[in-house]
Amino acid sequence: MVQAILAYAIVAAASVWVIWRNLLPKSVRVRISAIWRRGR
Amino acid sequence: MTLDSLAVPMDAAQGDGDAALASRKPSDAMLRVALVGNPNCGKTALFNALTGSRQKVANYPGVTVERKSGLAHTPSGAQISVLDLPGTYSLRARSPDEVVTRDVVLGRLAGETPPDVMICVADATNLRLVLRLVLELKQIGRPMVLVLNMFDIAERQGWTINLDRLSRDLGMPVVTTVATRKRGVDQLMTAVQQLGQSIRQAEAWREPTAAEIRTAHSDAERIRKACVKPPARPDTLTGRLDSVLLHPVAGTAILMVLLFFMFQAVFSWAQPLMDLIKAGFDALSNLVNHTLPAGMLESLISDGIISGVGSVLVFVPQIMILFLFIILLEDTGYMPRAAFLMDKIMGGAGLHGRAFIPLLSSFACAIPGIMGARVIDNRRDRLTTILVAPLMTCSARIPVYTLIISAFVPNRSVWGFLSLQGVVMFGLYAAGILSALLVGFVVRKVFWRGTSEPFIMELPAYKLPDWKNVLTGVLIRGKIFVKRAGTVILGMMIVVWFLSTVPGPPPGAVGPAINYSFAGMIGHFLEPALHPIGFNWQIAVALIPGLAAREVAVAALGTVYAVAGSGEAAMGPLAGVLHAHWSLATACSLLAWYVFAPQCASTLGVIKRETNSWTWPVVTFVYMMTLAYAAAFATFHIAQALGG
Repeated sequence: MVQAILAYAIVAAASVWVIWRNLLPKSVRVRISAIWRRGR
Repeated sequence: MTLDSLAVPMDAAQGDGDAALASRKPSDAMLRVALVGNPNCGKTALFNALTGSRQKVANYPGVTVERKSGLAHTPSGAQISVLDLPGTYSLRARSPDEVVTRDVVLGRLAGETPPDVMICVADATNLRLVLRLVLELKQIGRPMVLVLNMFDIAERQGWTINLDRLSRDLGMPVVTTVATRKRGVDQLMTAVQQLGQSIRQAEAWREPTAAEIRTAHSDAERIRKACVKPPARPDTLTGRLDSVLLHPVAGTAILMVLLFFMFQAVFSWAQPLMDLIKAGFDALSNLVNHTLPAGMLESLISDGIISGVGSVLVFVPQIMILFLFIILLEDTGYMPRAAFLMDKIMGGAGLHGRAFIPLLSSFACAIPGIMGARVIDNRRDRLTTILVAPLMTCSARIPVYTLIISAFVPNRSVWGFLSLQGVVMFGLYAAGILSALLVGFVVRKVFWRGTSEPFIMELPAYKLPDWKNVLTGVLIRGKIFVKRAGTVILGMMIVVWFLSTVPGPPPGAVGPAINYSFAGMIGHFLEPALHPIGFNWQIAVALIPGLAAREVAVAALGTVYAVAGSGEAAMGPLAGVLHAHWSLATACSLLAWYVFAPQCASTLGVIKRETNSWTWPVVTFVYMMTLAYAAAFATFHIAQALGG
């Protein structure tokens, strides 16, 4: 059970990273980063 | 302009600039200097010496095609912002890289503050053309210093340069440097700092008339004759070597032997290191299997991460050996000779002679190759080069080629001294080159008829390679590959593992679990389209993440077969597993596919950026995909007919 949760957490983090770095156009990334920075 | 008005922040380290420098921003009141000069005079070597950066340098013109920025320090500790610019012979720019230099120098580039001081860099052994550029730059009216770089070579060859007279005649300080050894850098920075005290507004520049050019040329000649005395006995080593290396028959034969030797070495020298890396990953996998209890996390680490990333990292030695040769040839000055030798063949195929160096860069990666096409002035010639550059065998194809070759080509020698695997690898490189020439020929003869402009390029003198530059270059290439394996490939392999594992097989299911997973479903869905070219569903699964980057397919195959393998089939090395599952015809078909397939998202992105249009990346993708399918189809059926 613990192994499955850890494995899924790693998969989720990797998926977000792959989408962020490889699938989203740079312009969208820049816009999201700006919104994130403003929020903080 | 005053120092206080220099408030526009610099967009540091654009393009593939040094990441370390990219994070440092110059302060508002920082002095900005630009390195300007003829191609191949050592501007980037000087930039690296000043800023501690590691931008690519090579002994041929046209290596730098866009501006690079970094920070330097004067001996008194003041920070200076330094811009490295593409080489040019004049401000009357013709090619896109020369336009960058002209626009930066004249302050016409949007968002770019013009430099306060200009450093005009000259090859001390070749002042003939640079003095005219110096006079042209002087007319802009900005403070300027002339740097005579490679001064050690000039002294060794016996050149006598009257520095005081040169400085007086040109009306600017003259500093001597040896950029590769960081000699003269402090004196240069001190001179720049002094010039920075007298910043003045630039004067308007207009394109000179023919009469003005003639006057500038005769002024430059007069100054050169007064200040520079050539050696009593000119250097004949370059001439003697060129009489052999540029010979139409002997020179071409030597080039072919060199390339052939290179690919032989890639296979034979790398093997012990590859075995070592493989043993390391096997030990790591065993450690994980013995430490963690069987379960999903253990499978993710062992089958997903270690199998996937390890199957790619094992190729690091081959990539580094290939680059050792390429950088050695670049550093010695042989590469432009190779361009000269290939000009006739390339011209016959409709490619401009200047396309040779961008195409050669594409052996590393198509991205610098496509950007390197900026040195070509004619738009059609440049587009043709951009279209064919992705066909050259980039380093991302090496893992795929090597894996299939080691699985299907026996490791034996032919004629007693040649490795058969090396011969096949050479053949695949040759296939890439020939297809690039063929596509270039078709594009020029069918779509863009017209004559090509003649190829004019200055051949540099031969030099002994700078070992620091060679080792740094090789290490950088290795680092880029390892970084990709640790980032893009690692991320994708975790996703591929997930798709290959979830959902699990239903109770009572027979056959490997991957058959029931998302990856299995996708693979089976695509299989009918790929069946005519001999690909099975596992290859279809590997090709999907492989569309983003070619070498990912190898890692994906490693993961898919590790997850799919039941029993001993998955236990052996990946090459052995493939040998057991694929026919020879399938292997040949996949090799043919990889010669052509446009499996690199970054390349298509750069084509879009360089052409400023979506048309050309779409054209590239469609024509390469069509060629890949047709070549794989033909190869598969011919191999099958021959009994493969």
